[in-house]
Amino acid sequence: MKRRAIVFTVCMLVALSVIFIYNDTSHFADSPAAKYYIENFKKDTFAENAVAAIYLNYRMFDSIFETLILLVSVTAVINFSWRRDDEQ
Amino acid sequence: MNNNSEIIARMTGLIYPLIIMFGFYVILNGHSSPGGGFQGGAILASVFISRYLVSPDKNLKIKSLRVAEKVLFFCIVMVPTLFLFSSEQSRIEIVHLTYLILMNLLIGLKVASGLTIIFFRFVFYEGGK
Amino acid sequence: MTEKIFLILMVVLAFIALNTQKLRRSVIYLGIFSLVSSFVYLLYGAPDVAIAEAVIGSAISTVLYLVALKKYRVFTIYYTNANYNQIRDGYIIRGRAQILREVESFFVRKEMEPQIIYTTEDYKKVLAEENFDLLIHQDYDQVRLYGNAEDYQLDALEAHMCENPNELLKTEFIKFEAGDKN
Repeated sequence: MKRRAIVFTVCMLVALSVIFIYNDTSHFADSPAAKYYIENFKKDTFAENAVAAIYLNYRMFDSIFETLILLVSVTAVINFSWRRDDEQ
Repeated sequence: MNNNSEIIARMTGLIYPLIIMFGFYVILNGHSSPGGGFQGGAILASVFISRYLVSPDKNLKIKSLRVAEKVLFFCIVMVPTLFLFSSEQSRIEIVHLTYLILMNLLIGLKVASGLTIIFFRFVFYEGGK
Repeated sequence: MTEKIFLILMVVLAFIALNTQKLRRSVIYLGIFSLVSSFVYLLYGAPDVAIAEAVIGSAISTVLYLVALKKYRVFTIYYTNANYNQIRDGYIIRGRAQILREVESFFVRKEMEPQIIYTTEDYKKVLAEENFDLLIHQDYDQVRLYGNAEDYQLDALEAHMCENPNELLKTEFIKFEAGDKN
């Protein structure tokens, strides 16, 4: 019980210090690429949503390989399954 | 597994047309509002999972879902290859919008079938009972 | 300022989920944790990620964990009391029967999931009809535990009870063969 209380206080202290350190950081990305995307995504891709514009147009390979990862993991789940009495 | 809660079964049966509608809304409006293929696909997969809560005995046809997933992955690779990576892009708005909606729909269906396969494979083919 | 409060709430929820005795409760705490984190994503201005986190974290993975726990091993314990008429509801909620607490802590120590069902039906009816792993029947200080003879977990429970006997309660084990019931 005592150990748990100590661990809990340490966790809270770490969380509070992290929040204190990052208290005044702004969470806006400020790189040339981000600025370019925000200014030009509508003209380039005709999408209203910047995220959709990025993952369907600028960074298409990201989506392709994400779906490939899902396909591979499905195959792995089916292969390492416990019971394999049908569908073979 | 047969003694399911009646309340949960009825309420989920009542709700899940609404979940299907919300899933397709998120997918089809992915280009203009928050959401998109992956999120909508996950919502559609949660429809199948809640169907498991309603009637846990019924098995899905996993094999056809697997075939559908492979075909959809092929489409996901081919559509951008033909449209996006071709040398000259059209500047017409309607073509771009069609492309965005089509890609969102393909990704959404693929993610939905993938998560459903993982869940049902785990439920029916893993462990003892 | 609001997101700071929710970030601290996330730390608290994660700690509770780690330190809960029963696995099922900690799965529920993880679901709440995902919901709060998706709300934090929303506050930081990322609605796309928030939708994905809410769906995956609190719907799909919670149901998946619960199904996994069900597959793993759930020990069903029925509890009947001969004189349930004299028991008010507060009795069950506040001070549960001593024997039940001991049995539950035994199974928790063995990392299994005890699922306790309180019933007001007669224990003979439960014996005949229900599907259980262990039936506890209490009549004031006389406690009888019914179980399957082939269940090795019950042997361990009996040994545990013999080693640490309770002064107030008289416990008695009754075992039947597998073919007798169900």
